[in-house]
Amino acid sequence: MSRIIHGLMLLFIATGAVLCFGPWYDTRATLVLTALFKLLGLVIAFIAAFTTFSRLDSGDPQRRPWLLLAIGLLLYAGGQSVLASYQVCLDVRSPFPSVGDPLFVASYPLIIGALFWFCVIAIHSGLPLGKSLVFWSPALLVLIVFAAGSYPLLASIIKANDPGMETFLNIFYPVTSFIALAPCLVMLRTGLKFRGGRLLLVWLPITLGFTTVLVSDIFFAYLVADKMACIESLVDFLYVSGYALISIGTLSQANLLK
Amino acid sequence: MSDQLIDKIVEILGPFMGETMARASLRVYVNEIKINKGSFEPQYLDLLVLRLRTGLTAFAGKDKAQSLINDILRLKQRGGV
Repeated sequence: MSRIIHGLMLLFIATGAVLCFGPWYDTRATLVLTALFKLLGLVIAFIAAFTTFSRLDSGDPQRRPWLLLAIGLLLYAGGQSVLASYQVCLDVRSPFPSVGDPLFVASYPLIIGALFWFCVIAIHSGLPLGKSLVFWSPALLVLIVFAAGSYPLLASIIKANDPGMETFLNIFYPVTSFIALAPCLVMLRTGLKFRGGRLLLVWLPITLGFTTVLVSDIFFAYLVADKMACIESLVDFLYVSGYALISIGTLSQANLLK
Repeated sequence: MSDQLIDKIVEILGPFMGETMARASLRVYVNEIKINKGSFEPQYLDLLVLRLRTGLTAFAGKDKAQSLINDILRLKQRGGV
């Protein structure tokens, strides 16, 4: 079963690459397909996260963070469905900001909360995952990178002199993405400790997926601020593959509990 | 605890958490029991299982953890300890 899941999702990512990096990238068909791929990845991830929540016992420590993650993914999928509706139904590029942005904004605290919750559960699991400082070291690294790298990014956003809401979102997305990267990389390091086991197939794709999406968010902020149209197809591909990876991980977790 | 028993438990836990993590966890838990009890005797397998259960439950929930624990306890019934 897990081989089928992984095969299908890798096919999904490969198709995303063909769509985003082919000469047909700017055509309507490609825009529609990439929009639908993103939505499909998120919907699968939501269903799998919710299935995981429902398969866990009420006393299981991971049950509530899985619910939080499922709700976060649902809101995120809601935001993505708004963007997709522009591309599929109205045949226009989705505006920025759009009515999907409140849904995206609402989803981030839930996803960040769930990821931090998973970290806290992991460190209290009693498994040899390293002492506190070592365990949290990826988060500290993100903090240092953020402290060093946020100024040029935020300065270029502010310099762009966009309207208030646009500026707020361009600051909100990369800043929350950096915050989300912290627990994400902690869980990535934790996941790598399970190499050779089924838990690796859960945590490696989930954390790589979120990392990809969060890095795309940061790229997207540059894209909007600096009008870097040349990386648009790369950003689209990163989103498609990120959502596919998250769905692989969440499906693997739901499958593990069957 | 005999290396043979460790290998048998690793065989059960390895496909779930990976061989390296399974061995590392067992080494830590067995050492903890040795510190508290002076040595690790086969009758302390229940204590070991108790420590393993917390870690397994954290990542896979009670039911999956219990099914892995049952496999380990079956080793005792089969005289593997």
